Amino acid sequence: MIISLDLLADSNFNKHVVYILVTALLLRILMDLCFKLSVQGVSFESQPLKSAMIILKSPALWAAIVMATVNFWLWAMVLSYYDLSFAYPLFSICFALIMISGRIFFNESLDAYKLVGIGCILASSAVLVLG
Amino acid sequence: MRIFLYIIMPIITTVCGEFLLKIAVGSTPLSFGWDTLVLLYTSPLILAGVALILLSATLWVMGMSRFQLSFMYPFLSINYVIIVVGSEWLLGEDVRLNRYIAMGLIIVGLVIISKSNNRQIQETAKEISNDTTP
Repeated sequence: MIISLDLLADSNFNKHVVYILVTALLLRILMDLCFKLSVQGVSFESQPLKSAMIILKSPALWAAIVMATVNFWLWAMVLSYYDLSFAYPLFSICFALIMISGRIFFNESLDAYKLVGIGCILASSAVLVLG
Repeated sequence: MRIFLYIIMPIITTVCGEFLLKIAVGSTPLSFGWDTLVLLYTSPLILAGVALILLSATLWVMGMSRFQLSFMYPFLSINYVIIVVGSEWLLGEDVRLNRYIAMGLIIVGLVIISKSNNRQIQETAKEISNDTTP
């Protein structure tokens, strides 16, 4: 996989960029899981103010905010090496991986529609990297 | 009007933000160091791009409480079309066929995923109506 990414990278390719790309992808997923974790068991409808306080005190929220800041830095580096028409669609893989993580960590439902959709998105990433 | 503010506006701002970011960082490969950090937080073009993307995320999240996700998801396809086509036309990237195929697969995937929410909502609605009707 890394070899294929090598081929697609710009001429001023630097091997570390692949690692930065993968780290940015993983961090984005971890960030969303932390955001989800921070709002777990909180219902905004019944007690909006109290809910906001609980979320603000949640370490998961602050971890997610730190990750978002770092991720912006990584994303800027990814964009400085890769084409936008490659990197932006590739990051749609986060959709698929987040849904799979949601199933694993939060026991969210994965029905046939989601599985087929996840398949399409994973296939699109494969087409981008290998194509 | 609500669709424009909470769905079309986030799409426009995301796409503009990403293009600005790419234009700002695309000319010189960034190194992994302090100079990059300084550049990121001082370049007006980059800050404008980030501001647009943050505005987009805020509007999108606000939209989530007004529309069903199954309705909003397929609109995300527009982002991918504008980014891929725009990268070729505006940025002059060499967009080969595989990127268009990938774009198509993402669109199909998003539409199918949105069907899942529809079905769940319909099932929940059916359960509720079953509960209330003796």
